[in-house]
Amino acid sequence: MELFEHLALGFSVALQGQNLLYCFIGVLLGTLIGVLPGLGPMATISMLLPVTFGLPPASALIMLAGIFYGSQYGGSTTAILLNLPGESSSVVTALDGHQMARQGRAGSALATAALGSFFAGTVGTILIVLLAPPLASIALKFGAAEYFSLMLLGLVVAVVLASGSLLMALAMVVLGILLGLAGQDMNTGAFRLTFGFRELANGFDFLALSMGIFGLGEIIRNLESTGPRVLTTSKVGSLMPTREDFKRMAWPVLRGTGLGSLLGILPGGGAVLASFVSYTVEKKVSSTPENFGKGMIEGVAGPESANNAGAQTSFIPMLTLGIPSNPVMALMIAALILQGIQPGPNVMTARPDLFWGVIASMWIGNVLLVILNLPLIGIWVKILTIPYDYIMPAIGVICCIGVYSISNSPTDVLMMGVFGLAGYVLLKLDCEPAPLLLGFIIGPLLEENLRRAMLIARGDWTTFVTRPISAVLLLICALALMAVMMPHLRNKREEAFQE
Amino acid sequence: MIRAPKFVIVGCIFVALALLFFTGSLSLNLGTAGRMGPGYFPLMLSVVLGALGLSVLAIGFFHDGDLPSAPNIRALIFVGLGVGFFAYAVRPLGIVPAVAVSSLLFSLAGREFKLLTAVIAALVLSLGSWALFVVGLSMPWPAFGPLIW
Repeated sequence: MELFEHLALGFSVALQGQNLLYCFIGVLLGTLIGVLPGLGPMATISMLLPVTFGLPPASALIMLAGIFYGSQYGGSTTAILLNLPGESSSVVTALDGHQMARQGRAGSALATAALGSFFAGTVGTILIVLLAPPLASIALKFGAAEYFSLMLLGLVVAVVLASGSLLMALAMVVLGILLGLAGQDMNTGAFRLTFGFRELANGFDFLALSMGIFGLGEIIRNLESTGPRVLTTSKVGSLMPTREDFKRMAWPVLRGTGLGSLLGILPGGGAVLASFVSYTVEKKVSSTPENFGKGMIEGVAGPESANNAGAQTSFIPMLTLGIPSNPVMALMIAALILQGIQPGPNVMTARPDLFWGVIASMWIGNVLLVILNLPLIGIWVKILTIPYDYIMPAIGVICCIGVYSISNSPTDVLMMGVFGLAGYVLLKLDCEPAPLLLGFIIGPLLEENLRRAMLIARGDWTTFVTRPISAVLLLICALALMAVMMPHLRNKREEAFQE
Repeated sequence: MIRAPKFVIVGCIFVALALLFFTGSLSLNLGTAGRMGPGYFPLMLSVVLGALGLSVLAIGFFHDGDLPSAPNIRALIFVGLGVGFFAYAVRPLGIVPAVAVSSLLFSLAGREFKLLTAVIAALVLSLGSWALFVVGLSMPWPAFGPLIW
């Protein structure tokens, strides 16, 4: 079986001492940062990207992936113990998880979250193994026109599923693409949109952008809202869920895993949406929906499984098509490019060790998280008591040093400062910055494929609708946009985000 | 009448940026649809951005919305100063003093400034980053720069 050969190769890479170590460091750091409220995976991965520069590509990606799903786990710990979701994807976990903690069942809630996540992570990994090869072989047949339409679809769906105003999100994507195009033109060598600044010859540094917006921007915003943090319960209680608990969580975990896997693959989906949808579904199918929000174990098991499954399967489009389905995956793509690897369907055949190694490491990472998280909960709780006075300057300093370390350039640091202030202003005005980053990373690829497609078609724009695959992708794009504009559905969307 | 100030501000920002990118792309070789020059795609996008910006602006006049909350000027200033200081000081002063002062500036951005906490944070961070990056990861940065040494 080819499948098992792939897996064997993957595990042989992932189980190498060095990679195992980086996987461990990744999930540990991820959990740590996930526990700290207000610092999401975006900020964490941006801050730690420079550290991975010196590593071989497989180790770098294994560590970054570990940070990503580690932070999903960590986020639920604070959500349950403190009612403070460390991640946006664990917002719903706080609803019932924290109530369970107040009833002295924090241990069961944490264990439910961990076990549900583990199950979902395992299923997600299996799905990647099954789906990646066929998807990549389809993608290899794609021409420039298909790629252009696919990227457009990715951007549109990401915007449609984002919270807040649709128009603003669209404008942010376009702005991101424009920023991504600045610098030397790949085809002609012309300097463009540099406005006379020599420093911009190589374009905006994407780490300066993401660290500025997601690191600095977030600390400025957090300074407005950090109230005193109160640990409601120091007693975690028994970690082992009762037999009754297991019975109640089985179906929600299965449903959450299914939903999460599906939504994770869709562009723009991923963990956040998956957890919200799962909570709504659990409430709908429950015989006692009125008890939700009062400590229902189903309200923890479902969303926690869903967000982990979503986090896992959102790697599928990134690894097989080279297209990020969410901003975290956009960072992963940037990391690949920095390592000198062109993301896309070729990665699987050109670098099978990297491809399967990363996938195998995901499952290992999930095992590590279960082993790590439950016994270490006491330490995570302690970390929560570190005052923000210490954390805040540390984040600022890490951002500065991180950006400086890329090319020893003070200009990059200044650029990050400007992006940080701009990011704060945008956050103040309810403009979500995530679509901007997505556009920034996809922008150059989008233009490249547009140019190539148009060159092949000799300037005939109809090439995008006469090629069947491209036409279908564009049709889905248009439908998605129209769907959000219909008043009935728009209200539904707003409702969903308000819950 | 302005009904949703946030939308009006955002709309104006987008339109202004669109104009900036529009003029920036015009000075480039546009090429044709079959052979796009460096300016073709940016020009298209800046028109789209302008249109989106105008729509956002329009919403501000036809729908109700709330005022943006007051910005945290103190945090903005000190975070800006901290980053700026690091950028300008890291070469002449070296990594240890640059991190220490920047850390103090970041601490000043907080609502309550506690001197002892800030000093401890500055010491730990400056020595820690020296140990981690210079000793541990062997980055070619002097601990103290030419201005001090």
